[in-house]
Amino acid sequence: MTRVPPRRGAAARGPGALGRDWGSEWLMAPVKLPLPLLGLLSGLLATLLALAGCGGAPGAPAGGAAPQGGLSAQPGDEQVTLTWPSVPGAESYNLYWQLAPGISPESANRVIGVRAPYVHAGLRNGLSYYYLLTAVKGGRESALSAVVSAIPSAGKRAVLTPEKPVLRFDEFVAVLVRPGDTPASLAQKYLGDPGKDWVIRDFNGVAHPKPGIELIIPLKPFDRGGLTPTRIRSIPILTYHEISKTESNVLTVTEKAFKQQMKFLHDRGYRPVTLDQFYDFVAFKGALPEKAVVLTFDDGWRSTYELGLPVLKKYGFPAALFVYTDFIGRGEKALTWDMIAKLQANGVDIQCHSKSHRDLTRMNEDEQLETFYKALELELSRPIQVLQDKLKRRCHYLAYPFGATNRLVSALAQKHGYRLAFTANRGSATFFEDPYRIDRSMIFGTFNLAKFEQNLAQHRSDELQ
Amino acid sequence: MISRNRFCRGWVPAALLLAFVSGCAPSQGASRQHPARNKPAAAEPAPAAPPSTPAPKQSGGGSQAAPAATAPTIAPNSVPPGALERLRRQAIEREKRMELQDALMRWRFLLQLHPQDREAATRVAVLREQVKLLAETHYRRGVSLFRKKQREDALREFLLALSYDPDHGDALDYVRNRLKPPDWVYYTTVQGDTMKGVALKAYQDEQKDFLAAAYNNLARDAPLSPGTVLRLPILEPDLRRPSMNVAEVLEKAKGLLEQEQFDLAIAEADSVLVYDSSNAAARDILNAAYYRQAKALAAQNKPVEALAMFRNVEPGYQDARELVDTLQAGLKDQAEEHYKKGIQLFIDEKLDEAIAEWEETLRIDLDHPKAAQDLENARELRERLQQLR
Repeated sequence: MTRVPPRRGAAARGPGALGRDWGSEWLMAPVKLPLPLLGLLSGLLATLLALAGCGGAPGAPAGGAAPQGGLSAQPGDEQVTLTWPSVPGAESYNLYWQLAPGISPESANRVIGVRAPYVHAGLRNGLSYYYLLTAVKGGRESALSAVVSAIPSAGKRAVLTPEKPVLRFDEFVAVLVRPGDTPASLAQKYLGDPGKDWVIRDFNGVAHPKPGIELIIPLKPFDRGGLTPTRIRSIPILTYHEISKTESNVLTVTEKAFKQQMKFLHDRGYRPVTLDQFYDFVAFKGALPEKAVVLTFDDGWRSTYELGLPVLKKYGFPAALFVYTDFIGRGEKALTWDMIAKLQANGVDIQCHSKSHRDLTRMNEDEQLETFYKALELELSRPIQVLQDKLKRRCHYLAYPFGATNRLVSALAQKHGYRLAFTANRGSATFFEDPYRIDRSMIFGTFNLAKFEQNLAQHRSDELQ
Repeated sequence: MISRNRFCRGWVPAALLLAFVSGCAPSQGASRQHPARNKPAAAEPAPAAPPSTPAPKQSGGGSQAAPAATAPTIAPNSVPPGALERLRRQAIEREKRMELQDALMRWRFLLQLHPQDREAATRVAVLREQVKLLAETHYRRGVSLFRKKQREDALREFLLALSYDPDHGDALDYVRNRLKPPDWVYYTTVQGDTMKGVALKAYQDEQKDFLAAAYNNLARDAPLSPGTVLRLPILEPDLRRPSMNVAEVLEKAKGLLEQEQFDLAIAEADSVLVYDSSNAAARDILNAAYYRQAKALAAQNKPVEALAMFRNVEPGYQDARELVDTLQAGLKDQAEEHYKKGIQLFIDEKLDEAIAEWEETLRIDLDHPKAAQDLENARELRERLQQLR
């Protein structure tokens, strides 16, 4: 076996030694160099920094590939803007600049008493300007910063016209909206997916862009994990089981109630998303629209196809169906594989819910551990194989039967390559949830709309207070 | 995974310049080539603080697509048609909300569209440093708290670090990996190790060698060369115990019900029903909790709220049906009044107000025969009108 670096807090202390309980992970936290105390010799600091691999020792000659350090230079039209972090105790700063490389205080021009940010204006576009900075205290200057340089440039202002309605940059596209353009058509054209229309709406703050308006279409995710300094997005994941024309109980929702709930989602602007989109969000790679929600169905009831699918199609809602493979084709209440294939063709993502729906955390009375373990392996591996055979697709997501899991089950889910695994604990999911213990909210047949709405909470802010 | 360079870049400027102030470096006084070019600070004042309102337009201004000589007037709350002004406005708003990473992105986009924009150039330069510094500060706090085993607080700091710098790999590593308890333990084999020996060390039971072997896709008698890293799953102490002690949870739910902590009682009963959907005791507790809340709301003269709460109670539970009928009869007139008002407002072409009245109708009487359809039609009409404007 190849050597695997320690992850998730269970690092081995060395060959022959077990990794401790993850409390020992505290020992594995990286050691950072402390701030040097005032009065430390600069030479000692230089040595420490050199050991830390930072380079750029103070007082060292400023030539060559010196790091930019904290001084930065942003070019503009006939100007350069310089910024730097403040130095505790500094009374002022002096800036040195010149047009030739190899800048030194002896050769350069000096500007006394500058403050950040400093705009060095009246320059000539196209020429390289070089800069150094010193801090001043008690009339004495410090050693020199690293050298930075910049080339001021006129840079033409980009203009969108009917003749040239699109401008492309690495990170975004600027478009002039023309008659017939919609967020969906623009998302299809520039993002490859009309379902990403929300990206255009949310980024621009424009729900219905009219012809003549300019839009910015970001090409990379701009709200990863739904995280800002004041709030964290949490995504509700709703779970249904059976839908019935007449009955309702804990696990059975009437058709009328289901229609009402889907209409509620539609009318209030909720955006059901796929599991893959949710996975990107959890993996901190992607963003989700405001009011994103995930719709899931468990087990493989025939009513999902007969009563659920028409409503989902009406609103264009994606959903996921977690099937336990022993159930399929067994009796008139269960889905058949044909129905499942049709569900898949209509945007329902078929995923795994074990083989037999046994409680994976519980051994039977007469069961031995080894038999139990083998049964667990089968419960998790067999559905993957079946779905691959029947539907020619890989199952990536798992819903635990009864929502029950423990560390052994979670470890096995990871071993079998599931990306995410879901419980049945009522709640919504942030990006930093344990990916193998993601909560979902069961929608009972006894819920009214008010109760249904309570399961759609989107934000948490208390974690960051 | 962990980048020393990331850490070092953040610390070099402060550490370097701090050492400078200690006076160890030689004085920089020297002759100048062009004394005339030494400009006193006053001649080139740097802006002291970011502007809190949009800066005066640098050049051009207004909508880039507008061919007219004069820039269009933008009403305070309208959406600027031009991307530049919209980006600027949004960037400033986000800076106010401390959403600095988002603000930085918008300033950068603006700068790419308009490289001469001085405000954008300045804000990009300032925010770049600011987000780096803030991210690093929160990250270091997080590490310190992590070492003190204050995990909740550490998580908050790492999240704050990521909110300022989503590319902070170290903070993300803590959030995703280090702050979570593991599902397995790593073991690195040594000379002489066998699967049974490993099982004895890990589980105090060499009969569990099958676990070590099977989890790592190895045969039970597979030879283990030194330095092999095995992953050993963690076993719960009692695998025959049900994953939920239903009786205990129900007791707890009943206790909460008696204390009138209805929401908590509902949550506990809920969890039993998820585990066992046929559990009658849990359903009784739910019914009782909703019923009592509904009655309390009715006693407080909140008929609409009481009715909504009663809808959570199973029909046939005590006198819930009779109470619902009474409430509905009383509210019907109220609902009808709002409905008729909506009709009049619609006729008067006050579409928003008509919609509000029909929403209120349905809030009072969810089953009103006409309000739902009229409301849907009115909303569709409003959307079409908005698209035409």
